[in-house]
Amino acid sequence: MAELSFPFLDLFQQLQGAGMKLSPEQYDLLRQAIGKGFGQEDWKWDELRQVCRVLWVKPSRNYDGQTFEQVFDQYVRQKQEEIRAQLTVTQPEAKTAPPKPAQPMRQWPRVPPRKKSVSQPEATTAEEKVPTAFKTGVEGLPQMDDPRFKVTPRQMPLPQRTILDSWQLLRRPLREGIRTELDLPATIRCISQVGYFSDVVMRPVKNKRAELIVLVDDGNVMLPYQPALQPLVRAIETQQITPAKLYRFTTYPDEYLYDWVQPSHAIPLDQVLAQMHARRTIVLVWGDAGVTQTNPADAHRKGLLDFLNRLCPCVRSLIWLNPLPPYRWTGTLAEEVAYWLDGRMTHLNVFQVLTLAKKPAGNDRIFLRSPG
Amino acid sequence: MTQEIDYTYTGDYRPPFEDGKEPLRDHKGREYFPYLPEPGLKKALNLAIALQRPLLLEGEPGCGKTRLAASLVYELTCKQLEGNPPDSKTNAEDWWNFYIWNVTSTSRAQDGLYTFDAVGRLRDAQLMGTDPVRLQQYMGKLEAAALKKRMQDKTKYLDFGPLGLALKDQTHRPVVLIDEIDKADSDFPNDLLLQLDELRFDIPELGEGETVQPPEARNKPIILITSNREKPLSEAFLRRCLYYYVPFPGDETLREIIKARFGEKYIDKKAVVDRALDKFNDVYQLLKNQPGSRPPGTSEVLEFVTALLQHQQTDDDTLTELDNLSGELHLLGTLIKTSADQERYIATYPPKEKADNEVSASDG
Repeated sequence: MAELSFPFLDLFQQLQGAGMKLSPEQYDLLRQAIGKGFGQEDWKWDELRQVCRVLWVKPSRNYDGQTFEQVFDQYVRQKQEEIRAQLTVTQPEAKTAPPKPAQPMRQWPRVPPRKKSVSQPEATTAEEKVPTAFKTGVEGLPQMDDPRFKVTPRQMPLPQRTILDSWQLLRRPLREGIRTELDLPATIRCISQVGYFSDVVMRPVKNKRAELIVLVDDGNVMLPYQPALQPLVRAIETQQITPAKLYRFTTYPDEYLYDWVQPSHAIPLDQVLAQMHARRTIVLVWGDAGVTQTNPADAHRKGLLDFLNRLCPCVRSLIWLNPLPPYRWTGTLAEEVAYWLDGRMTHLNVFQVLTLAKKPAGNDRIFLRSPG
Repeated sequence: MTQEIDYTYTGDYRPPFEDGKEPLRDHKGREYFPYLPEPGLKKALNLAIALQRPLLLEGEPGCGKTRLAASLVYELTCKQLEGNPPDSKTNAEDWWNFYIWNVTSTSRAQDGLYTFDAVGRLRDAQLMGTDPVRLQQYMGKLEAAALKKRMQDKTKYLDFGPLGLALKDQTHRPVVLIDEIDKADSDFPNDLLLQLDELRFDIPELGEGETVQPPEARNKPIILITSNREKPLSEAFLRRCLYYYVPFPGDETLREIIKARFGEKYIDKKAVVDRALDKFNDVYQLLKNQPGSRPPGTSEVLEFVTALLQHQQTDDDTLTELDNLSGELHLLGTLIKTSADQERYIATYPPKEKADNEVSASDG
């Protein structure tokens, strides 16, 4: 057993080592709890496990329950072996309790099947799996020296500064909610119009509440452009942009979006839409919008249009970032999408992104241009 | 009232409850139902009481997070009255001090401590400045005198919130329930950090140095916080709380809960309850791992069983209805609340034909 003055300090340190961000104060809580007789009923490990769980596990990445269970199980096994070793030295005939069966892993929710990227035929050989954008100079394909057809991720960086600047622009305060603030200029205007003071004019208070939701197309077509997205992902992960959430989809979002950290975890689109706020949510879509499809499948076009129609009423601003330059959109589905979005689709260009971010959010919902 | 109270929560004190009758209410009209805490929850609560930390409770909606606080208050009231259970006629001062703060989307942390009616005071000050004769004509003698008195004492414009009351002039450890903290703005839990840590607050409106001093260990509030996990809570806030996820009660516990709730009726209609729990289990298993679906909670089960037991029909008819749950949408609706989930259930358990019904009725 651990030293009496610092009980289970080794367990605490193992948990810290496994990534739980526990503070000394939280260790002190365990000491206090043990001092008051908690966690020691019948000297069972599960009693201690319960107490430690209540003290240290929280609904947060840094206090994760699964990590806790794994480390605790390992700790118990280690201690049981130590005790067994001691017992075999002192009383060789003593029987120790059989080791605790491993805890069953958490049951994962059933994952609805993800659709395949429709813009690419079924790949069969390794060579065919190379993303289209890299297929330059491969034998059998025409040599393309025209710079218009060469796109490399390094040529289109959106510097982190631009990302943060546009976030500051996007989240500028908006008047929303109940009219609780006296609108002095409007009241004076009203007095001068009517000729006497009739009533005060109220307006909603300015609120700086915005959240960012980023929907990332992680289909094969988009693979080469992943580095260009990194500044944004980093800004979100380091909480320079907050609150913000990332989701994945393939080709276009249909019934489900997928978790950023656990791509196998499906989240119904309805649920994500329901949590959006028409005056606060800013959505950024990262995708090619079917730029590889000169003759797009109807399902693809309809799927995209349906999704945008459902998304628009739920958001305050919508920006579609297309890593491919606009001259490549011509004659593809991307051109149609850009038309529906009425200027809300942009190439990775510092000036254009900032211009879009500066665009004031109207009081109305966003409307799509009807497909022509 | 000065005897030492044992704060350990046992869950053994339960208010009487009869089906079809009003539950026990205290002087403020708050309801007390029998509550069966599971052992883990009891331990977590006792740990929070002993370590004097707030306890954050999460869990599926309807699994009894909020009711725990009332159950604790009932138990402490019983202990205070030395084992005599309180009833609806018990005096206000005999009930254990219990403050509920129902958080809404517009709640501010300040509201839980106090509000100061500055506008009311300004209006009073303006009225005081008017001609005294006209003031009396306008307000009447009594009202004018009350106004004068009010103006002399600033505290008359002060209204304490639930947390403010719990930190002020307590002889014992009051119970504070901060319900559904995730409903408020995301800054709300962070604004509460200082109050939860130090349990003191200033009232600048009353002048320099007006502070409600932190309580001592003997009268520190027991704070329970519930959340439905609609918004993530900040780490700084989580670090200050103990945390317990209230799991869905197992089959045995569910039976105990139904027994406590329906008493005699449960024994008479055991067959119906058994079948109802089977059906509930089907629904629960079906929806448990379905992304986007929410399996029914304890409160839905109780509604479902109430709907079955309050029917004025024979047990056989009820059993037939239960067997064909997919066809009885009014019953299914008490368990499954969205049409998508209902359709999912009906697709898995298609409704039976009429002919089938008759056969199963004669069997049952």
